[in-house]
Amino acid sequence: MIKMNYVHRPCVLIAAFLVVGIGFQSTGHVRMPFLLALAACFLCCIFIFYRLKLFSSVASVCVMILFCGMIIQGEAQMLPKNDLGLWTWQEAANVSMIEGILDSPAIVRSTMHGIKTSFELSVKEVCTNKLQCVSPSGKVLVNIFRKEELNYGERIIMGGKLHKPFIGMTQGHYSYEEHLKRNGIYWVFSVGRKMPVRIISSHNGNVIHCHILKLHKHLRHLLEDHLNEFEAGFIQSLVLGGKYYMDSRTRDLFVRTGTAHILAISGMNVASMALLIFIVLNVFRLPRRGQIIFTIVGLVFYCLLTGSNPSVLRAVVMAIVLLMGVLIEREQDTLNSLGIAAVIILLMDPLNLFDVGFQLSFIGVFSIVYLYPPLYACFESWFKTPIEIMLGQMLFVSLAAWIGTLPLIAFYFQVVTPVSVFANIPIIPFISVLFMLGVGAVVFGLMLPPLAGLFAACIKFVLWGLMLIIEFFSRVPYGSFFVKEVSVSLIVVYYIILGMGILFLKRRNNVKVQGKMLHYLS
Amino acid sequence: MLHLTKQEKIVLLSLTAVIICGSVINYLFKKYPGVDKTISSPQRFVLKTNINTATKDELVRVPYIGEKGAQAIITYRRENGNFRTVDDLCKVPGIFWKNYVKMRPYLVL
Repeated sequence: MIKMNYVHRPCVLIAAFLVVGIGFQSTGHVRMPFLLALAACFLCCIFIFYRLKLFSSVASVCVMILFCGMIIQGEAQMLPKNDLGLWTWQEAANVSMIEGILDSPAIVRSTMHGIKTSFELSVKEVCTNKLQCVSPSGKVLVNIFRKEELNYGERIIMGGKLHKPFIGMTQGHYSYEEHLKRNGIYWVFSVGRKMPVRIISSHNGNVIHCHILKLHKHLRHLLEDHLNEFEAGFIQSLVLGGKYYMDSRTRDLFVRTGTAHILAISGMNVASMALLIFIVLNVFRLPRRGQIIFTIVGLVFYCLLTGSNPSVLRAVVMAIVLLMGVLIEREQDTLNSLGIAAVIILLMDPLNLFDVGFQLSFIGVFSIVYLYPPLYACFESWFKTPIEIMLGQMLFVSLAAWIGTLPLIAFYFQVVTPVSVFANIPIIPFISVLFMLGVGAVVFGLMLPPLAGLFAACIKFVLWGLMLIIEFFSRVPYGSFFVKEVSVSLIVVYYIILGMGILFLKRRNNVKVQGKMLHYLS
Repeated sequence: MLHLTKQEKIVLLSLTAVIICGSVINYLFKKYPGVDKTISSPQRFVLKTNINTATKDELVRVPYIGEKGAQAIITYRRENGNFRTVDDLCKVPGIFWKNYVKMRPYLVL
């Protein structure tokens, strides 16, 4: 008989019920007063009948977490009475001038129709054609159709038109409009080439955020000094995070080979950063505890520098939990730290649950942690030499991640990419090298600019090699194909079958879920 | 005095490797400017669509083709057989030279 080892993972339970609560509220839209009253009644019942043991302690805690999920989701969905999100088409059509504070850095990019400057604006005042002014709350996305030098925290006034985001930006089930809504943006304000933009005052934003953005901008310019637009943009998205707008067909190259994940910071980048900080601190002969504490501080700073998006936050929280475990000498569990990361991210903003990056990041790691060990155990005997073992491990990690994220990618982007299982094997070492070189170029750019040039030369060469590999995999026949429509019920059935398959494989092989390589890759 | 820890050796060796490789690459770039152009040309790396095998869905995704253009290409291919060169695309009714020049880098045979 097989013994089932019980592992204490409270955060996985909390995260699971929080997710169910958020999902339930987002589809059910239970009215807040009713929901709050129900939660309060249930809490009272728990206390009143506590001694009678009518409510099992674990079940009641789970139900309360579910209520919490529903309540935070309900709170996030509620808009203030004067919010722009409640405006109608007629109200928006009359808007001719807007005043507000820049809530994000202004990004200048080239499009098919010329240069465009985009940013989020926290609206303070809106004026109509009839010169009637109101002060609504909320944010808008501003598109200025020319190059404009604007910075976070500047209060500006400008003329233009308020409209809904274009539906043309929708692909598969991924909706650009929904993505903006999750960030609290319901309208787009377009400023024509000749429309005026005037800066009223500066430094109105968060001081820490302002300084971090300044540093981010400075580091980006350091990369642009030595690399062309494509190379600098690529390394920027790999090392510093943030959006990088490349040619849509170059982006397609990554999408069709299932390697688009390398265009964003992931767990591997965070692990590489932690490793770099650790090695440097080791050179300075710091005691072990000091090294861990400084690494944690470094990772928090890195998370802030890269914009703290869900996938970076997930990786940083997991790394911190891992390091804290070493610090207080407690055994770490990858799934529990994944649960902690999910709880933190969802409490920060429950709407993150519907973010594609959040879903792919968590499902990807979950499949690597849960699916890879039993899957690899089935074929372990095939690999004999150390090189074969290493390649085999990489292949099955890639396969596990692909199997886990397959239905979500098909659902959102309507593409299935079997070639990614093989494409990721040579790509991952290239990405690790590029990341280290990118960090080197940035750090030496600050201190020793001539050395940064040498790092940049290496980046050019390695990036060229990487692009050749990606291009090669994009030409593999049947490497990727489009699918018409993937329903939610099909995804649910897929994951149920996958879960049963994992349980079957685990029972058959009796494998453990931990491992150093898993920590690095997750 | 000459003792180095493992981490110090890793850091120093990596740094020297980067300096040497970077210098060699920089030397090649200066000596043969064509190498820099080849390596640093981002236009080279785009997803290219085969006009003889692509489905309508795939053609629609190519910049500057669109729904009508894709349908015209499919119809032309059905009536006249496969394209011999990419330039033959200009023979398709509705595909003009101005647009063809823009879509050319994204097409292959």
